Amino acid sequence: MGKVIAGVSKLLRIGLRSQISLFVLVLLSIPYMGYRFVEETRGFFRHSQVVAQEQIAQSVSNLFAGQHQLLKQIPELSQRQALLTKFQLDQQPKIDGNIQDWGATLNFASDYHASDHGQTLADPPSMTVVLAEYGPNLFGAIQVKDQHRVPHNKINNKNAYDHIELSYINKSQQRVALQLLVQDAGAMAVEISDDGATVSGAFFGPAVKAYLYDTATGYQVEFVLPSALLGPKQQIYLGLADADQNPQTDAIDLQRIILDGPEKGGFSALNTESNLAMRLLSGHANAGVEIALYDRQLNRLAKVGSSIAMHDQPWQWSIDGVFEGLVDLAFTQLLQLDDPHTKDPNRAQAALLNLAVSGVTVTNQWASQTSLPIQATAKPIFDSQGNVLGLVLVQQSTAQLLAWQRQAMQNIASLSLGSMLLILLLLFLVFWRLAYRIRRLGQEAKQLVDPQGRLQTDAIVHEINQTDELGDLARSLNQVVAQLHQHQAFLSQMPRTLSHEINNPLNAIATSLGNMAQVPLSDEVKAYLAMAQRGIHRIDGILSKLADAANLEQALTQDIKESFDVAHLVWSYCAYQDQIDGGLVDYKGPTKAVMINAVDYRIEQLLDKLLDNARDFRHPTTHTLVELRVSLGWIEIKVSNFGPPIDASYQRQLFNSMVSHRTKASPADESHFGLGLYVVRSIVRYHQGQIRHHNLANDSGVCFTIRLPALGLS
Amino acid sequence: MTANALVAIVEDDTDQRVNYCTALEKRFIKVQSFATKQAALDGLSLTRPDLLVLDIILDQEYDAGFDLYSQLCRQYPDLPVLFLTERVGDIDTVSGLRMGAWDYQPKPISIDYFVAKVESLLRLTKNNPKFEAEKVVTRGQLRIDINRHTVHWGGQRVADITVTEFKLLEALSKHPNTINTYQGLAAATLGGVVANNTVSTHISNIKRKLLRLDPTFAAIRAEYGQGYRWRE
Repeated sequence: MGKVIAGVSKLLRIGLRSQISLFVLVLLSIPYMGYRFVEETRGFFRHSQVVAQEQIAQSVSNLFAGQHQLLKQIPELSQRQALLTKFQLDQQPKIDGNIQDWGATLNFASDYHASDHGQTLADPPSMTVVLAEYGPNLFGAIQVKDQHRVPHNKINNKNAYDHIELSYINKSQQRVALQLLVQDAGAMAVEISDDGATVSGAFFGPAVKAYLYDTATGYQVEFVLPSALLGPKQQIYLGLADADQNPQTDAIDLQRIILDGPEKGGFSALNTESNLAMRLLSGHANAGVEIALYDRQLNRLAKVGSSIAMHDQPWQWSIDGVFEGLVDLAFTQLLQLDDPHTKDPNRAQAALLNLAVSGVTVTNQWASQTSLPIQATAKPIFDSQGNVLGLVLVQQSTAQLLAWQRQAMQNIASLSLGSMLLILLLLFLVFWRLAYRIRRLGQEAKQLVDPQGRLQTDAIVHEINQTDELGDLARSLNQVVAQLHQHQAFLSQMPRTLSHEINNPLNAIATSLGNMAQVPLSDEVKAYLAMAQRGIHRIDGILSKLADAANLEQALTQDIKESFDVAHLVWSYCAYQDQIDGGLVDYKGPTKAVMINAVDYRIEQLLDKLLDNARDFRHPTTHTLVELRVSLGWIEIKVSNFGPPIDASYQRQLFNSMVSHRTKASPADESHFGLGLYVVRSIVRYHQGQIRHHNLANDSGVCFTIRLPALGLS
Repeated sequence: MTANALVAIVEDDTDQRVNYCTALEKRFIKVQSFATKQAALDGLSLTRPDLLVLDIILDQEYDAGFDLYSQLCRQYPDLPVLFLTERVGDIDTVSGLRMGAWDYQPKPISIDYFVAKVESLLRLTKNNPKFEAEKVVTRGQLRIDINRHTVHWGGQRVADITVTEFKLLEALSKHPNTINTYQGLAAATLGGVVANNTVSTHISNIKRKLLRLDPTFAAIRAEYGQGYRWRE
């Protein structure tokens, strides 16, 4: 069981490299997967659209199959004839702007939108038009969507103002151009246009009436024109001139929606026929679907619907912000890869029709003049002998699809960006934590040893339980530390172990020498015996000092600090040393009490070592100076002697254990192992103090300075 | 005075054991010597020695000397003992044994000093009146019972006093109002202490233990650089 758990733990163990790889994988997969999803969905929708178009075309083709009369009925009609169909009203409408009294005739209204000719109006207009006849009059109902109305102002905007353009060819074959001025709700002023070809003195005044009615989205206009004013061809021209402020130039620009026909001057002849073909086609019209009927000569016979849905907007890469800009930058190329941006839509459409007239169903894509992507299907209409009678062309904008795709891409980009930010944040946190862990481990590793290279602890605390590579490193480090600690413990125990092991044979020698001294010996042997006993005594001293030094740090930790007057300690200590040293120890310090929190006998021991050192290295008969100073929370004890300076090569190891630079032979009863300054440093460190040394001016001697935290003067 | 006394020596080192025996026998002291703990237990099961000289480490057994002494004390209460050892610190820490521990001596030891120490202890075992008089030292509130190895301050017993502390306190109190030098105090510990700071450590421990009983205790005064003084 334990092995299984260990195996699973090992399998689940995720190293740093794996963690980073996982993050990168997630980072990359989110946008890619999203892109693939959108592409697949887009392909599916496009295919569905083509199938739907083919079904519509098939349906229309079936409807007109074998309908020779129907297709022949209208070849004389102009291509845009259907746009100006004149319907019959059941009752006479009241010219009050309210078109509710038009009844079902309103259902035949056609939508017209402004063409984008490079203008960027803030509020592009659109309108719905229906023409109808009742009695001797021609009536028109126009619904205009325009939120920004610019009324006629003769002073400032001679041409740039909102108005309805209504022109006709009169009985004298002259063009009469009228303007229905868009102003406040109510009866509209009807003026003759002053743009050139007008008829002089033509009477139209009270015969043409118009009324404007405000709506929520703009306004609607109801007008009446006596049919008798029109010539025999009943040619008419209708348009909307919409003035709006150009946001780029702040000028008032004019934009027109023109119902221009194929006749000279853009006039259309009013179609008064019932146009069964139109009605048949209307049954297949859907929002955003344009169905057109063509004869064999590719003359358009009828058209219903519009490939531009009301909510379709030309596909423009609007830069609304930095984010969208970034998204566009990232995805424009992707989205355009299979976009049908055939440059010339007329040519593309003609090519499609020419192919279809040969008897095959064809589909193609192109971009309209307003840059809308168009998906088109052309299908032939056959008679009973299989001859092609005409064509049906179904066109549909894919702007919605592309807009959806773009929106989806933006959403994916948002999600990806959000995910990336989140992951970057996570990565930042991971790496921050990683750096923190490494720093902490490094800090701990740095503190493992003191400046003298001795281990301060026997184990690593941090990261030891982590399962990643840092954990491995910490465990390896911990193992090394444990081994080093063991070795250091062995070394530190060495003096005590040696003392213990040597003392027994030493005692055997000592007792043997003692017994030997009891028997009669020659003077020569007695002399040798005495030398042997002195040697035993010295070895005993050496072992004791080594053992004491080895025990020092442990002993220090058991010492208890107390507050005492260090000035009194140093003064009385120096006084006694001066007494036993022949007056060669001078003291200089404050007369007031200087309190420190320390172990008094350790300070005494510290002075012992420093004065021993000074005594050993000073020139004969020169004085040793001991100074006590207080400064900024510290007390300083300085011990100076005149003698040889400390060689620069000894500086670094001066305070190490077992380092001695005495050149003169030690007295027979004294042994020096270089433990003195090591003891001083250990005591100073235990008291959170500092020790330093420097050679006196002209290398005339040496000064050791001890700094210890002070409690204050009293 | 010490002739015919029986001293049992337990020492695993043959050379040392022979040297101890030789030195004592020259002073007409009877000696029984043993190299192992078991041999000593067997050999002393029927005969009570006047003094037991013990090495603490016997063969590989680190506390054999302490064990042996504990077992023998059950049979012979108040059996005087002299520990000969390099483990001076251990004697201080094994406080349970100091009740009957007459003395100890760190190795290496001079054979003359060893003989003198043995003779001194043998005299004590004979209840010599000269030594009886020195068995209790009183200085103010301090009362030291040398035989029982106990210290009292103001009638309260000072707990956990170690052998070395006891000897230092005894030395200090015997010479009140005078400076007891580090060297003198170290000597009083019978060689258990060689360095000034070690003396100071023990003195510090003594002061701490007495301060626990009497926060106003100030009888021991440091004479920096020289030693300590017992102030009355």
